[in-house]
Amino acid sequence: MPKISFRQALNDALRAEMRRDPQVVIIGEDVAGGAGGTGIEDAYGGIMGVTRGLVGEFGRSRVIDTPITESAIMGMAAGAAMTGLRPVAELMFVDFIGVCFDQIFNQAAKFRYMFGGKAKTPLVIRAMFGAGFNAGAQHSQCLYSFFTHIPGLKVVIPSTPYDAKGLLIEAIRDDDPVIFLEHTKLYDIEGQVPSDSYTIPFGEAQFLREGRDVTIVALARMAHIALEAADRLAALGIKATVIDPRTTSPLDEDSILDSVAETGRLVVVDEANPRCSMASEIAAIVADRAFQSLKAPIRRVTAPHTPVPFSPVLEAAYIPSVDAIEMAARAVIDWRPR
Amino acid sequence: MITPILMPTWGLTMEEGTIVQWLVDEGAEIVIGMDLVEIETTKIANVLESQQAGILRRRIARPGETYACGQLIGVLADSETGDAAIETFVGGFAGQAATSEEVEEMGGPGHLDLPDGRTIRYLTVGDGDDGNLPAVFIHGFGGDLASWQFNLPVIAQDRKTYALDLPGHGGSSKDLKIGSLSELVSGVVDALALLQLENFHLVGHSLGGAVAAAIAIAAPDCVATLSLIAPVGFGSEIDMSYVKDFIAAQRTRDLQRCLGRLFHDPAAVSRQMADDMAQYKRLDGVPQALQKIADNCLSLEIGDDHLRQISALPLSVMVVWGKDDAILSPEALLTLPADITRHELDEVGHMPQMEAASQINDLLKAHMTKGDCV
Repeated sequence: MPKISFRQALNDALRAEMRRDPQVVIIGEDVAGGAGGTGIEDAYGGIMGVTRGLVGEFGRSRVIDTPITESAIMGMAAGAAMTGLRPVAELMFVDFIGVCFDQIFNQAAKFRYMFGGKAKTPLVIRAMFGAGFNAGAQHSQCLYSFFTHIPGLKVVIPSTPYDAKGLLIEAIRDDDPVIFLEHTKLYDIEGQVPSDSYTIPFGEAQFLREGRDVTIVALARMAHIALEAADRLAALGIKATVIDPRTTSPLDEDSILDSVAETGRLVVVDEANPRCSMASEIAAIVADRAFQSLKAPIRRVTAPHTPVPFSPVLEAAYIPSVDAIEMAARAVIDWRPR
Repeated sequence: MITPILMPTWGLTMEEGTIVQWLVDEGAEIVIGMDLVEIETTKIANVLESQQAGILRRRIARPGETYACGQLIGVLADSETGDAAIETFVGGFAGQAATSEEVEEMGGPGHLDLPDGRTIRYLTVGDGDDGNLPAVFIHGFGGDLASWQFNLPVIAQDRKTYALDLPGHGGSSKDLKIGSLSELVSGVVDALALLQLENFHLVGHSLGGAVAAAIAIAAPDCVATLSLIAPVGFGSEIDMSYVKDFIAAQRTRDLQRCLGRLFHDPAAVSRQMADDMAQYKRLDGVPQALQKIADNCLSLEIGDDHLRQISALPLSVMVVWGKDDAILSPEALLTLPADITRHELDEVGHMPQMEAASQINDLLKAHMTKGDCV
């Protein structure tokens, strides 16, 4: 099985689906262009190269560069989805949802419901998110909890190249609006990915590691940091289960609850700001439905309640660290009632 | 007496491993079975146990380093062996160690391009230097060549082994015309021709057993012995509700439950096993291929004829099954003609080659060794 990057896995998924279904189109800023093109077309392929080479194969009627106006991109995509196309619209940074959120949460998310099932909105919105690039407060946020809160939206956050390809193909084939979020620090990671097309169902978490002592639920890039923490814990004789939910809406609650039933201890790792976060949501679900299984309070490891710093030193302190996860796990294991 | 410690090959797809940490120090006294070093692959982390006794003289690989399977990672020797001899050994070995490309050529999974455009994935284990007839393994419905992971390394001690993925399965191409038994058989026969295998022992499990039997009936001169494990097509009724549930299951959790029915002990199905199966089932075209086989092969009476025809063949036939097989009712197998060797295993379900691997390996080895002499 070939080993490819997260970026290449996304590119493969887009290419395969565009070949299979002529209704799939790509809309966004700087999405056209790529290797093999001429002149200006050579330079881009998305700012991270995810859509490289697609305009060469499918042409400018299916790979559409837009002006810098997110509200128009999302409005165009929502309308196109309702009238028969299957658009994959790119929001360059998830931080930009502010200027187009109405099109997403009031329009696309609610069409099917408000039109009594008569409207189908097979729309995928792709966006970059996450800190670690010194990109500053307005280009580094994790806003998946905003989308997860909205009924009518599905929210997908892959952490590996295998997951990225399967989940994006599933998202494109899904008839509902799907928010597909890509962590900027994951584009270069590599993993084994089948050359054929495949899907991964939404609402199915991945167990990255299994162990009976503590359950660590970690989202997106945090899954990798959590695995490092799990290695450290293993050296101390503590065996951790590491669960990557992969989608926050729908959320695989059963897998998390089953694991907590076994370990009795939960740490949730979320790079987002703490208030009203996925970490809080998962903690609440477990406290509600697995209370009897818990042997210790639930610990959430998140960023602090501040904007993402621009200073490299402060940004490194902002992002949940291996140390922080290890300490939280040890705290729930060492906890005793008074 | 110097013993090399090599990066092991776990499972059939492992190409390299990364050292996590050594669990013993240089100079430590090692006994057989002692935990030596923790190694991580893309799939699992596991501990390598020592196959020999001695003193651990050299820990060559360092934590974090990655080595191809078969490469030298440490050296065991007795206390009398001098350091100079160890140095010479290490230097000489490094030159002989197979690179990962060579390891792949020797026996990593390969692909065969059939004349009709389909591809068949296969794996070989063992080098066949012993001169004995090779053995060909054919898995069952929904499985792949990894079904034989506990058997190939052992049988390979005596002879070269080949395991194939049936059309529609594993790493073989997924498009099937109608999914009939003859379509599956023709794919395997074409693959064997490309591998230039003219005389071999044949082993088949479940649906692969029906395929193997059909090949033996069509070309008895090619087949030295026929070993059938829980085979389909000998009058046993197949639990089609299992087939239906298996095809429909797309989530790991559902598959884990479904696969549990294959085993005497459902807990034998690990999450990793169910996840690997899910990754196969989610490939485009797989549910359709499996449905075609279910409709045009499994649902049909493959033929009680097989029983009579198999007995008439001039080759040794052995049939093995598990008493607690919940997929194929074993009663029909009890009425096999007397000249067919049969073994019924206690506390074993539909997957004897995994559930009772050492018993199966012993039975296969003995059966094939007898067949070598004929």
